[in-house]
Amino acid sequence: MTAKPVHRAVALSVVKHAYLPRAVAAHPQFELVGVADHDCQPDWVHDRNQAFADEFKIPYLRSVEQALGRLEASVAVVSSEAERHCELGIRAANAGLHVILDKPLALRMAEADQFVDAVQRENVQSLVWNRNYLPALVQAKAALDAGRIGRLHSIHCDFYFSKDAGPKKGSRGPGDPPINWLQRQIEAHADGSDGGVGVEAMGELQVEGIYPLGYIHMLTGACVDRVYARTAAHFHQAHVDNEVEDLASVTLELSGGLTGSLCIGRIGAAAHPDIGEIKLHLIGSEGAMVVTEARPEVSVYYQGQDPKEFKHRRVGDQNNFLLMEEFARSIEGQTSPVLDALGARNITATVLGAIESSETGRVVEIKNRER
Amino acid sequence: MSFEVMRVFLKVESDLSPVFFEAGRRIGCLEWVDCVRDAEAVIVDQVVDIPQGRRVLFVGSPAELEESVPSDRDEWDGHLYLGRRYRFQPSVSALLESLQEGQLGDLGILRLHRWFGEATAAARRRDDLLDAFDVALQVFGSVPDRIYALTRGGEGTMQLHFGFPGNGMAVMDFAWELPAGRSYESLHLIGDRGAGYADDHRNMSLLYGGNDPLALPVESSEVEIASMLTSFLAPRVDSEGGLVDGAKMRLLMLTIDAAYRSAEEKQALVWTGTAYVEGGAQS
Repeated sequence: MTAKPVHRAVALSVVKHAYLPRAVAAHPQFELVGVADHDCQPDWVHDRNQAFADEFKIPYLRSVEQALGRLEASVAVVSSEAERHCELGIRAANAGLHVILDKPLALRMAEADQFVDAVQRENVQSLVWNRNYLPALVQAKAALDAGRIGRLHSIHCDFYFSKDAGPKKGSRGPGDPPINWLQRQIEAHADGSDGGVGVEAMGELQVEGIYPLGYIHMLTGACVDRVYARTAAHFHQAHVDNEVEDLASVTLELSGGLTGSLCIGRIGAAAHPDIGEIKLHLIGSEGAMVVTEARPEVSVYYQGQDPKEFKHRRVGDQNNFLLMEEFARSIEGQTSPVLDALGARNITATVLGAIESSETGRVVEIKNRER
Repeated sequence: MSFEVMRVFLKVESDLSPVFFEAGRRIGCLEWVDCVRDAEAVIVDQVVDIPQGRRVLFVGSPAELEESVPSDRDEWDGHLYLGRRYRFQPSVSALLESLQEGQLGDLGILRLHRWFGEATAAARRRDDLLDAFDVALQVFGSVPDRIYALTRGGEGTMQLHFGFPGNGMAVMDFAWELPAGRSYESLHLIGDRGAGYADDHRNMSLLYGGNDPLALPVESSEVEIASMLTSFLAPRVDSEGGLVDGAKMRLLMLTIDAAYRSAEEKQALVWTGTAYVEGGAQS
């Protein structure tokens, strides 16, 4: 028998998606040993951190530096507000820990670059959370690698989440104050639609764009060189009030002459029976392929069913396990994460380039960093 | 009770002729006649001399029609209409009806994929663009105010990015050099009240004959043509009913030309109200 190492992991802030530290805890090669955050954080942050620590019966330390020193962790799991991702990730990398970050990587290029610099300098592994190992994506990658559609020419992705995000656009009455972004995100935590939690408002491109762009990154192996984009706050008052988009379309020009596009939006719960329309359209020299991200799924209907319950349920999803499995093997030097700091950094550049394009009406060149 | 029956002459060279006859019999408000002189309306797919005073439905190539009878000529005025099957596909019609009835609310985005098997001649490619642009212009109620287009592989694929007044957007892609076989169509409309999805991916039967199963699209040719005929034979024909009149044809040709220009010049174009000009030089 061969013993596999177990890596001690510390969660640095669990204010957003607890699925990330849960995925770490669920993998047999990782052990969550504590939660930590800065003491200066507001009460709602401490409350969430404490609740998670209590659930897992692990300590909560109100000092990141102490936690990095005392808990003997070799992996840090960051699921804070997006604007703190890189700050916490850099602290962990500088302490020699491998780093798993929730998406998005960063809101600004300087932060993303500093994080990439830190993981490269400290020679630690990094993983930015993604959905690249959903079954339909795994199948699409295998089909492409097997040459089933020849050489890939174009890739198009639709990524619509059919979630609401507070009051509808146009619902703000005369004299009403604009919606406070952070407050709305804190309230949205109950139904899990708080992917944009933080003081700084983020549009859908920033909150979710890394998922479809991560698919494109994995399937093509190419970087986005140029973008042209249109955006709108079309559905939700919170997006209007905070001047961020909830609908966007992006034309992509990738290295190697590939072309592509992305349509993304938070389109409201009424717009789809399940989590949303998420599809890939791939065109190659010898054929083409249409991929629905949700497959495989089953349909379940019954009396008294909660209208909010998805009637079509995804099955066979091992994404979280496979990401952690790959990260364990990356730490052991056997492979590399499917989306690491550098890949996510270049995706951040694409997202910020798309936002710039939508503001200027111009095609924007993306400055990618080489591996 | 009674209803008006129009005498219609059909001269269609393609193998769709029997489908037209059958569709006409189904809708009931037309009588096929063998001689053009006896007809009140004429349906053709080639550019031919048509006796004056007849309502004409052209169901052939728009590019060929535009070349022979430019859309600014008098023949178009209340007389000549272009009919394209795409607009009348049951799935496309259903989405347009949902939008028109307000079920989808204010439209935010149109997304369309159209892929064709076997190499397609350049003129046919313009026709395929016209079909899609026709729908886009109708749902947003105007020509796009921004156009950005890309072509690849000697124009084997093309993708279009339109912006419309009021922040509407359309993203469309076309492939014309796939291996010979069936085409693929996908269209969705997303508004602020709801969304409609029409996708061949959903409308396939599966045939198991060994190895991977074959996907067989469920046919609707006859329904498309019956809908087109119904629009054409209505007492008042206009582009709202899905047929292209001269004014619409001019806008469509202008938009197609702008799309090719954008692709060639690799830059976004902006609509001034009369023409598309450079508006998105590379930053």
